[in-house]
Amino acid sequence: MNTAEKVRVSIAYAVSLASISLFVSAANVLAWLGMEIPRFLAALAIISLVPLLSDDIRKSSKLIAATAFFTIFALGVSLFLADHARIPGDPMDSFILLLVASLLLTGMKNAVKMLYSGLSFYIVGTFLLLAFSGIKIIILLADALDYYVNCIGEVCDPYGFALIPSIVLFILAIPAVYPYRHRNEFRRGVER
Amino acid sequence: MLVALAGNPNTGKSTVFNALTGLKQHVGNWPGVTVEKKEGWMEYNGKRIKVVDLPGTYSLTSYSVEEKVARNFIIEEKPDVIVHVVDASNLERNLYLLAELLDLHPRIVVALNMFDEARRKYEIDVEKMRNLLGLPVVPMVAIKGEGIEELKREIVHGKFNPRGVEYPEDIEKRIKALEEKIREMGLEPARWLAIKTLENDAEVIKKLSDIGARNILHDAEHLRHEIEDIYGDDIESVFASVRYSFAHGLFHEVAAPINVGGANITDMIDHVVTHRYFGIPIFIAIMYLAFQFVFLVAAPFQDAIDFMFNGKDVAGGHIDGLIDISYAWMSSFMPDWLASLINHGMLRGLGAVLTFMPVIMLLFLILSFLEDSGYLARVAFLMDSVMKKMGLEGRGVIPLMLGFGCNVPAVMATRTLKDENERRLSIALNPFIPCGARIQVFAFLSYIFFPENAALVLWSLLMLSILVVFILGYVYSKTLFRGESQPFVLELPPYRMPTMKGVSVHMWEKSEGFVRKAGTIIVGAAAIIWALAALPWGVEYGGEESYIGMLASLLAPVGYALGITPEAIISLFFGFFAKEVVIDVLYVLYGSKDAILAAMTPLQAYSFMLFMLFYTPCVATLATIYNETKSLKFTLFVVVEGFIVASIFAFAAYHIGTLLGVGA
Repeated sequence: MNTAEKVRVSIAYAVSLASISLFVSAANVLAWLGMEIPRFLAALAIISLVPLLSDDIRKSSKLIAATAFFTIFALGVSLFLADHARIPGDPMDSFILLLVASLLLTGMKNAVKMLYSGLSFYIVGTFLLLAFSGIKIIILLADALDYYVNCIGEVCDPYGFALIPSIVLFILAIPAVYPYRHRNEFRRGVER
Repeated sequence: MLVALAGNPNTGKSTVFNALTGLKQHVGNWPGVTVEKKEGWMEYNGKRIKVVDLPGTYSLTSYSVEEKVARNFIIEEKPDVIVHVVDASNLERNLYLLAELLDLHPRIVVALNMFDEARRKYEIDVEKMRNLLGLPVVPMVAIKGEGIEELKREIVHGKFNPRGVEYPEDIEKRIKALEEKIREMGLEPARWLAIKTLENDAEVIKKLSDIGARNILHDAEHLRHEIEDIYGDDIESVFASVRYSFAHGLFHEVAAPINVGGANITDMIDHVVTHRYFGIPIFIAIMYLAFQFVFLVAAPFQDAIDFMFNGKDVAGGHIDGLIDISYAWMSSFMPDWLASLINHGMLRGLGAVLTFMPVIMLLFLILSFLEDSGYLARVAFLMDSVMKKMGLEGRGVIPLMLGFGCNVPAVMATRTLKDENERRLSIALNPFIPCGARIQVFAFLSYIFFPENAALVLWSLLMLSILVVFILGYVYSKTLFRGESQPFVLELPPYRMPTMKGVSVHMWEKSEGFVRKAGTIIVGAAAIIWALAALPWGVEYGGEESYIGMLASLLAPVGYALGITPEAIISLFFGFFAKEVVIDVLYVLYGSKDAILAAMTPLQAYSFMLFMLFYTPCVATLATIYNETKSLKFTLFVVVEGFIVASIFAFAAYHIGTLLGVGA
């Protein structure tokens, strides 16, 4: 695989990340409304197939296979989160994850063509996801600390750490920075 | 009249020179160097004007002979006008020299040469460039003779009201300190010499050393190290970065590139964060994350400080805090009232100040991070048009958003506004933004009185506050705070990873002021509130017979007009100390949640919340407002406007609701 193909695989991966973000976003709204999170919501993973709309992806069987794999991967992660994660039910979190997904999907079209204009959206989307999930993890730790501070002088159970989607998203977002490392291979596009 | 032509190499300077002077020129060498010197004469309306073509340079440092020749000519010969010939097709790169020229000379005509080529790359708003720079700007194609007549006219009749590079506050105050000393020695141009001395410019330093200005050099070295420490970079890079930010910001303001994207990371990120559709949602997301980070991460530290001072009630009784321990100890050897004043008044005030500290420090940590990374400059750029409608520049949105967290750092953050009039307007509007503490009270009362629609009630209060801020901003900017808004270049520095040291220094510089200044006033105010609640001696603390209770009884008729109960008025008094206290006071006075529910109708509760939304900010905010404005009159104005707006809304809500039979 040459660098361009590796970058395209990475972009297909990021689109699957966008579909997971959309799943968590929708799940957050449902949790906020006090509703159960249906397992069929994981079908949003189908969005991971969007890169197949691009000629640059379709012309390589490896890229088609990678896209299909990432779709199944996104479906698996979404189902795992639906079953095991504590969805916080914060509408603003939903908004931010929707924004991340929009940025990644907007960037996809031109990023697979190796154009800077696509990479721009891709970079901001990925960094925003890393910032979002990183801050949520710090907040989780602060919450644990607060719990123990409030426990001073009282008998308390150990803090119940729960898996939150941000932990999964943070880990999954790290490999998505790959195209950024190869930004010099991109070229300027002309738009009006 | 003497005119100097300056510019980067290959910008068509010689073509402009030839077009201005025709055949009336003389070619020689600059004294002592083998750099070509061209002089000529142009005539305009019968006026004979000498034109000197300076060597082409990219900057005005002292590294090359050309740079030395160019700047020495400007300093020694003092030309009446400098024509800065710019290659408009490479606008951003050329604007760096303009940033340097603006430090040195006030009368500059910007000649945008090769304008035809530039139009293929971007659309340039020449009029906006004129307004932002306060200088004549002439688009031209010198090789075709286009724009030459206009250039001549501007050289002779142009209006110069230059707005140069605005250095960050921590650099600017050091430039000013040095400038003053240089001026005292009778040296000119003092500001430019101060900048260059700080920049470690070898030639300027030699000149000062030759005339024995050792004190200045010593001070400059000290100030230079301070700047390098703050920015974590060498001094030349720091100054160059400010000028590049100016050039980048000006370019973004006036040129809309036809080609999008770019190889450098700054261009790529800017393409998205200043995007027409994505820019504002990204800003909202970042600010929300910043707020969450600040308030949720600060919480354990706030709780720990609160516990340390006030102790806490636990299942097995009460754990004494510093106040309890200190009170018990002092009561053993001093009069009870004095021990109570020191501990329940002043020490409690100090505790309240320190409880604010984690929020303040984290808020300034994240603000400094966003500022040093270069993002805040983009926010100002993004919000400029929206904020202008309410008489503020783009940066004005930051203090308003911070107000949702805490009005104290929000008022302090108005320092980022350059115009004093706008700054005061922003401070006057800030208390109408409900801080986190007020939002806590609203959430509590909404949940009790409107269990089915608590979120809607809370949302209505927040929306109302934003609406009031916009309306008052618009009205104030046309009346009380009317002023000529000066256009200026929003500097757009390149993105970079802030250094830990730089962010920490900025955070500490901003936070320590809060503890030192607001702290003393808050402790004093706490003592006054204590006295009102504790006197006359022997009455129940904060009870009906205390002065505060009597005042509440006195104001009861006003309370009734607004639908607010006397107990709620007492809680508002304590809310002046810290808004969170309102919940505690209501609990103490009524005894239970059910009693609160029984004492007020939902309409009265809503009216009470409306009053609390707008009435006077807490004592910490007022102390900060006074410190920032140094005006008791202005601080009183903030209190009065708050009471007026609060009374109008509470009165209207209560009486319209009563008439309609809602929430009885």
